[in-house]
Amino acid sequence: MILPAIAGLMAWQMARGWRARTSERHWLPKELQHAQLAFAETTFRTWQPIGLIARADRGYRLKGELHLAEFKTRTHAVVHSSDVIELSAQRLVIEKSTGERVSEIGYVLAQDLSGKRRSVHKVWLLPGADVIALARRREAILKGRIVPRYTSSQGLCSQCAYRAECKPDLRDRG
Amino acid sequence: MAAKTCGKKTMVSASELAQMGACERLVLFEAKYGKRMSRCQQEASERGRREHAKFFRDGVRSQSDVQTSLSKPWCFCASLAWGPEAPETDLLRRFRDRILRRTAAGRGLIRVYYSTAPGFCRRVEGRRKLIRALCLGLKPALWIAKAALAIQERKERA
Repeated sequence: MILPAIAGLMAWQMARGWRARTSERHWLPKELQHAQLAFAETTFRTWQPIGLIARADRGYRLKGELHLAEFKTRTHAVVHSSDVIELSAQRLVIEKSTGERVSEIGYVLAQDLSGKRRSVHKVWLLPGADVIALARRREAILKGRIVPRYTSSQGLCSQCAYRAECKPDLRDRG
Repeated sequence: MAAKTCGKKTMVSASELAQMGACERLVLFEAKYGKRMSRCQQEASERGRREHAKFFRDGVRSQSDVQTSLSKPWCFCASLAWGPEAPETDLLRRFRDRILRRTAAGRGLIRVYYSTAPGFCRRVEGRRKLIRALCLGLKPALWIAKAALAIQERKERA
């Protein structure tokens, strides 16, 4: 009695695994259909040219080159500049720590809140020099050498937990 | 992923750097006052974590030999039957790594196992009778693993 039940459950799970594989193929962009998944949720570190650490969601290997994909859950299927920066930083750290070539094109996989719809967005990544410049600017902001800019996103600002300290109304007054 | 230091150098994470693209003032405030999130942001973050975990599981299911920094959900059945650190679990782990991984058929078997075992174990978890049946069912696998490893060790010594 128990053994057929276990066999039934295992068959059902096998079907789920098959579904997972086909759903993977479903969202993968045309260019990566024949690529091999090289890593998932993997952390990379480098101290050169700057100290940088990144955990990449997915890396696909195709024709000797790695292609990065970042997974995001979003109300609207849009790509933000922060996604491009994140993928660009991942590219720099992976290239420096592994010596492998990483494509200058990355993919942002946006999933809606219900988890039923996924859309893939192709993005062009920033060159390494721009990532380093951004890290230096961040350091300068933290040391108080540069005044940080306000965000241009009204949505982000309205939900922010630091509104009391930030006083965004003062910016609007000029 | 938090910033780390090595000597005088500081390590910045890709996600911290990405925040610069969202709001530079947020970067400063988080460093000054500590990380703070509104309820709406907390919910979004929690939802993101859950979906990320699912996305990771899908990836591991679709390809078992994928490289990852997270602990892979391996040896589910043995961990459930005897515990993750039990000698029986360790024996099956060694069997997987030393014997099964070396052949294409073995890797195929591992792939099938990884795609079926996690869900199966989730259902069996907490049901003592089923776990006992699982222990019995796994016994032959233990004998085979033990014998195969013994033969392998003999071959290596020779």
